[in-house]
Amino acid sequence: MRVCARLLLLAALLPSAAWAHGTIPGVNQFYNGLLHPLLAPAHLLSLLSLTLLAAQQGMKPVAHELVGLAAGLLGGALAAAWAGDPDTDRWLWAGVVAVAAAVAWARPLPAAVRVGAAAMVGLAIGLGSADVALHGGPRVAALVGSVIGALLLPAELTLVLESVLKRWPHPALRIGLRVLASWLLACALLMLALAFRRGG
Amino acid sequence: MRTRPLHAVPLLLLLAAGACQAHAGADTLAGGFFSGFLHPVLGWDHVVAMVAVGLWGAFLGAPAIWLLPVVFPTVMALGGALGVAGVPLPGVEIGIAASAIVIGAMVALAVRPPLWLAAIVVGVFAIFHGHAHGTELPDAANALAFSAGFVLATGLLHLAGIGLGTLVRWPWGRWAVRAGGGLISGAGLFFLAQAF
Repeated sequence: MRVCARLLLLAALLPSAAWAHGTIPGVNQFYNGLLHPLLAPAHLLSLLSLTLLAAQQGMKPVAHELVGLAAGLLGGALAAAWAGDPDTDRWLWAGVVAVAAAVAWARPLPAAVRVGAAAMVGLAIGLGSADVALHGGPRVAALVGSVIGALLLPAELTLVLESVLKRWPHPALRIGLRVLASWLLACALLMLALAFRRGG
Repeated sequence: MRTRPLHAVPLLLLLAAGACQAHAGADTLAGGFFSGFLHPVLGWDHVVAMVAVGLWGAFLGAPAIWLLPVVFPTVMALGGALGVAGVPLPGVEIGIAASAIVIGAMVALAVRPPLWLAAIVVGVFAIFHGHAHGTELPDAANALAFSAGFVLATGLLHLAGIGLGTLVRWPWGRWAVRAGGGLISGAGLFFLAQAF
């Protein structure tokens, strides 16, 4: 009951924060950056789709998605330290469509493709995590927080998902992964269309 | 301390509080999600067609049982994107009614086409359903919540169809499922008559 109660409470508290889609008052910039991947829908769904891909394709000897993501995030964050605040949401929605389609298709992908796709997503997340209102130390702290948050989330979820798939190797779980990916794909495709409509 | 289900009730109410407070429309998370969720659920033409997809998948067995529910939302989103972009699609209501007629008839007549053909049939009709949802999307301020709502509702309706379709393992269930397909097809004819 205690664990269950804590999880439910946590779940109850998360949605309002998750949809605030901005900085949380009273929280330092590093922590704001750490939570940023959870607060920005395009970032969150990109990371979830990469998580599904990593769990589906397997982590042996290493999850190529996480390696590529780390490289892309670092590159993006370094570029964002000097660049403005480019809107990378369209790229991220397109990335979700591509990655989720790969999961739904469920064919083995070459390591280079997995690393490359994750690096592109990481680059877009890194570039899109900068806050133009911040300068100097706080800006760097927020970016460092974002990079760590964007790596921790898929790394932990991938570990959990992979261990679940190993422990209960029922085909239905892998099918569920593909169905979930098709839902992510559908949402992302609609958001991409909407982004183009609103952006002109 | 032993687990007592009643302990979870206040926590569940707490979870529901956000949705109750929102209660406003598509401009909030809950409003956006629920208006998207209810969009396919409150339209009987959508409901019967989605259930028919699940029924047909279950009737055809693996891998169609899960492939069709993967194909449908994917292609539906393409139709939705057309709707969002304002690309007109003639005869949307007719297409939706036709989806119920055709897929219901496939179940009723126990038609077993090759998997690729079944996926094309389902995919073509998914475009009409997606277009109908997509045209509503620009009005939803919380577009992601709206999309997630209607995609989830569509998936759950497929699941309902699959659940009913699992009756085919019994001889009487097979007839029940085929009769269900016939009812869906008949309902489709009714919707078609209304569309004109």
